[in-house]
Amino acid sequence: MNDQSNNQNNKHPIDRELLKKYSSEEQKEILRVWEKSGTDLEESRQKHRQRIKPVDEALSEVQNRLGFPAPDLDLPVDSGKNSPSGFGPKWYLAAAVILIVLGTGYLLTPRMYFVSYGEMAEIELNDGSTIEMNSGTQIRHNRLFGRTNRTLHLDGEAYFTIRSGDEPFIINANGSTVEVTGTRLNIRSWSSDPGSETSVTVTEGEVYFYPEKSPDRRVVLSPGKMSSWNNNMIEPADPVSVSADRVLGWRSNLLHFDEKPLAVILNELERRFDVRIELEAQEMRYETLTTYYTEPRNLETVLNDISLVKGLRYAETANGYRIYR
Amino acid sequence: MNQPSAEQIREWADRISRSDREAFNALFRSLYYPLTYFAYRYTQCHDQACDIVQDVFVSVWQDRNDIDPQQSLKSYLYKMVRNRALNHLRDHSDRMMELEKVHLTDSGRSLITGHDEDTVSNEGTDSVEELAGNFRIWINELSDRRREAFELSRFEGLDHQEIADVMNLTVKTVNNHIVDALSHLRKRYNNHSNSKDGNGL
Repeated sequence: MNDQSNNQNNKHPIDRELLKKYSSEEQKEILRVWEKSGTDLEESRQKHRQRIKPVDEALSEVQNRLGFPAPDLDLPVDSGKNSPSGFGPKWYLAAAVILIVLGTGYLLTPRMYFVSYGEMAEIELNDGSTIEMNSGTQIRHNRLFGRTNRTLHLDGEAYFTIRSGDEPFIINANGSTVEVTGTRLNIRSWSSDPGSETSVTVTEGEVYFYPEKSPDRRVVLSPGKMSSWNNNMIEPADPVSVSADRVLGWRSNLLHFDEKPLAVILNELERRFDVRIELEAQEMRYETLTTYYTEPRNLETVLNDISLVKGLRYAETANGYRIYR
Repeated sequence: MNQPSAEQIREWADRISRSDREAFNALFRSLYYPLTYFAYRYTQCHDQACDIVQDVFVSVWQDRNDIDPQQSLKSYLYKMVRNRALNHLRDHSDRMMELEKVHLTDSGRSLITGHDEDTVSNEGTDSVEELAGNFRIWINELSDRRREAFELSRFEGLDHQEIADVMNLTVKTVNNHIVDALSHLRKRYNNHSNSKDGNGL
């Protein structure tokens, strides 16, 4: 039976695509590192095998719990048989009541998705729509999403690919609402940014964009158009044409800022690179800057550029950077 | 053993969704050691690792009707084991502190092996043990998420899509994590080799 326990494969290959990014000289080094990093893998697996419960024993425990018939006995499975004795119908009734109570509570707790700083994530919702989420973004919806409603709340930036469905797909973001059927769009709406401004850019289909409290003040956005709204505005700004590539650059780890205040830019850098950035020159918070990188840059390059343009300096701190005059 | 092929797992998944117990047993047998080894690296307790993996298999059987053969059952299993292991750590925070302490102070130990007898010799022979110990230290220097992604690739043989599923990340982020991990290890390894050459002269 233990034929499976010998010869654990230590030769997990490196990802081919990943390797292609290196020069042939580098590839050799990378492959050596890859191989050496597993030097004692075999030995430590063997050690583990000696200490963990043997597979046969573990499997038969699981089979018992599931009520599989014991080997050689082909008995039909009776689900009642394995339930602990002493629990009659009343017990089931009580359990049902508890379940209903707990169930209601469960339905009321929203489902949350949060992407750590320095990472990006993609989620698929139960209606088949997918969402790519930028670093630090949070999305929540209630448990009936996809059944009785398709409403969710966004704080952050995300690219939506929305399946058409019976229910309209509604995104609430910091006081604004975006309503769509089947379409693709990007929404940026950070509560942590000054003004908590929401910007919506459509790449496919059509969307309605309006302040949550005044649905009649809506604008209609078609592909290639962008509109923004913040709390101080009566209705969303007139749609303007934008370069979708730039707006969606974050999905390829690019940075793009169009006349954005320094505070907004630094927030983005903090999330993207998972560091603290202290702006000591507070009076510069609302200084705007336009910058677009066509390939991913490291943080120091970006800080260097910003400092240069704005006549600032930066220095490393224990957990990040500080920017000062 | 070679891990079962993706094809094989898909076939088992399909049969399990149709209540085939033999397929369930086969799946259990082929992934029990890899999964408990994976769980153990979080829990540092063999019994707990075993319990977690058993619980996960029980729930796979109970929810067999929901199995989607299009989705990788392997990533699903790793994901469930990881979630439960992390929950376990969270619920036993003294254990978690202990783990963190180990991380912070005892650079000779790692989640990879976690056995206390493994000591790192400081003397300069480039033995297999020494190199293994060094890699353990260097892997431990990685941030948690980077280390997780790297270990899932290097030690569990998951592909990047599977790791993305397990850790709820995009493939791109997984790629970044692994590239970063490799360049860290490469730097360390090169420094180590160079300093060795220097000493040898």
